[in-house]
Amino acid sequence: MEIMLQIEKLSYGTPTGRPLVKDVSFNVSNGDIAVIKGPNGIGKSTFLKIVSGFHKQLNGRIKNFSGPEKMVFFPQISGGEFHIDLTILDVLKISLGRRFDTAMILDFGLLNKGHFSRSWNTASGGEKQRTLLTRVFLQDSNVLVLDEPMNHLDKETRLQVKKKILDYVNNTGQQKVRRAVILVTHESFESTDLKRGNLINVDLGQFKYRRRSQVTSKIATELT
Amino acid sequence: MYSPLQALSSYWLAILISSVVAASLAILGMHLAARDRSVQTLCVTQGSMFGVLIALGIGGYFHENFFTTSIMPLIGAFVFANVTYKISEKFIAGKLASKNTVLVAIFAILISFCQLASALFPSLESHMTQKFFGDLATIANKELILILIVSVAVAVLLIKNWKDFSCESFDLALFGRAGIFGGRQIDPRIFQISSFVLICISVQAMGFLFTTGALLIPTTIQGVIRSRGLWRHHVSVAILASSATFIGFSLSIMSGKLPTVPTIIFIMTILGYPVLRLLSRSPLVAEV
Repeated sequence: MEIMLQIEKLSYGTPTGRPLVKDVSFNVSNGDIAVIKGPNGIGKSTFLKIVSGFHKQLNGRIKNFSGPEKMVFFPQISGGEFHIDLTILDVLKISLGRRFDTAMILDFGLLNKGHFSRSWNTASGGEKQRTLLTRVFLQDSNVLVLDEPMNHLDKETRLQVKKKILDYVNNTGQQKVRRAVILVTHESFESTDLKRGNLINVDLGQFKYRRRSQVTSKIATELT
Repeated sequence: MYSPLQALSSYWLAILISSVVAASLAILGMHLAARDRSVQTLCVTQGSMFGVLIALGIGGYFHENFFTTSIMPLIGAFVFANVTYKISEKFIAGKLASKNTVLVAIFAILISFCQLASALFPSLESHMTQKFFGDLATIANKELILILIVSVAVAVLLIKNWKDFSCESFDLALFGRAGIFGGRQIDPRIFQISSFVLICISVQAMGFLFTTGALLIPTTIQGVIRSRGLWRHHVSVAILASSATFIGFSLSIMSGKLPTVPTIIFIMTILGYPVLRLLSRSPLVAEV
């Protein structure tokens, strides 16, 4: 298995400098799904921002072997409305650029033709989430970093997205490229058809600052 | 005896160029509003006006020429617009208070600085009113050509890369940063530099009121109408800004009494709703 992302002794804190988590270390390899867990306030979203290069850590190193341009970060939506009244199709048109292809979008399956003419500003949370997930998955990427991708989605769509994540790392219907996903979610990937050993559960609570660092069994095996 | 048509024929170049500048400012303003940077733009515009006044004050001690009356104020505008931007960014990032509170406080400070500058440099008294309210009829031809080149260059840049800039505006508005979703990204400094250059040269030549009016009024009215579509928004704000400038400026010249910029702003306001409503249904500005 080829390592795609190496996180070594990573420590980070709040914007005011209060340390939250200390010495997180693990590797993400081709085909892996790393599920980040932990109690509220431990900084799961901050962790993803650091991994994506949008936030600075206090200590430690992150090596991204795919290059920053091949890593796509999907954050939680902080503001809902946009000053210009865009349609959902507009959002995909401007964000996918040359990769924009309505047939490909429909084929992906999270949106149908009826969604295209809807206004972004009046779309439901679920419709916005579907649009942004379509945008993320249709980018040319090797590593997806997803922050609560199942938010606002109904049960059926959550299952659909879960399948998309599995298809992504398993390269279903694509030419063989190395791929991995790191995500924060409350969904479980335990009983999926993910290849054995490709699921990494990282509990940030165990790396809490001033506590002895512990690692999950998979990480411990990798590091030894 | 005052002849309206003769006056109009003397100012045709200024009227045409002002209309082009207004269109360019309106497209830029659309992105600034979309990025929730309207109040910060007001501060930066006021900061650049302070720079213009300081440069004119210092220039007053030297022999009056194109350098002291146009180039020096432009440099002053650019320097102080940058300083204002950096300071405001620092305070916003620090989150000492709400973003708009911090920016309005900076704006108030800058207004008083402008007033102080006009007291310190006696030659600035007339400049202060002119740079605030603007007087498009008194702009020198050299300045008109300079601003035409800059505004056409910025307009071409914004229109040629309209999808990339719109994507950047969308991501900044929703996620607070651009470039998170991968894909082709345009360097964010390109937008920043081009907006600074256009705002500074517009404040210097056309004044504070014209600049802020053309930047924010068309996109605000378009936002109220809520006509759907991104390209339509681009074209509609540009048409409203340039047509209102053309009509307002012409009316002001023909009347001989009406001030240029307030007349333009008035026309922009009263024409805004019907014109943009009409354009929202027009196949002429169909989506591309």
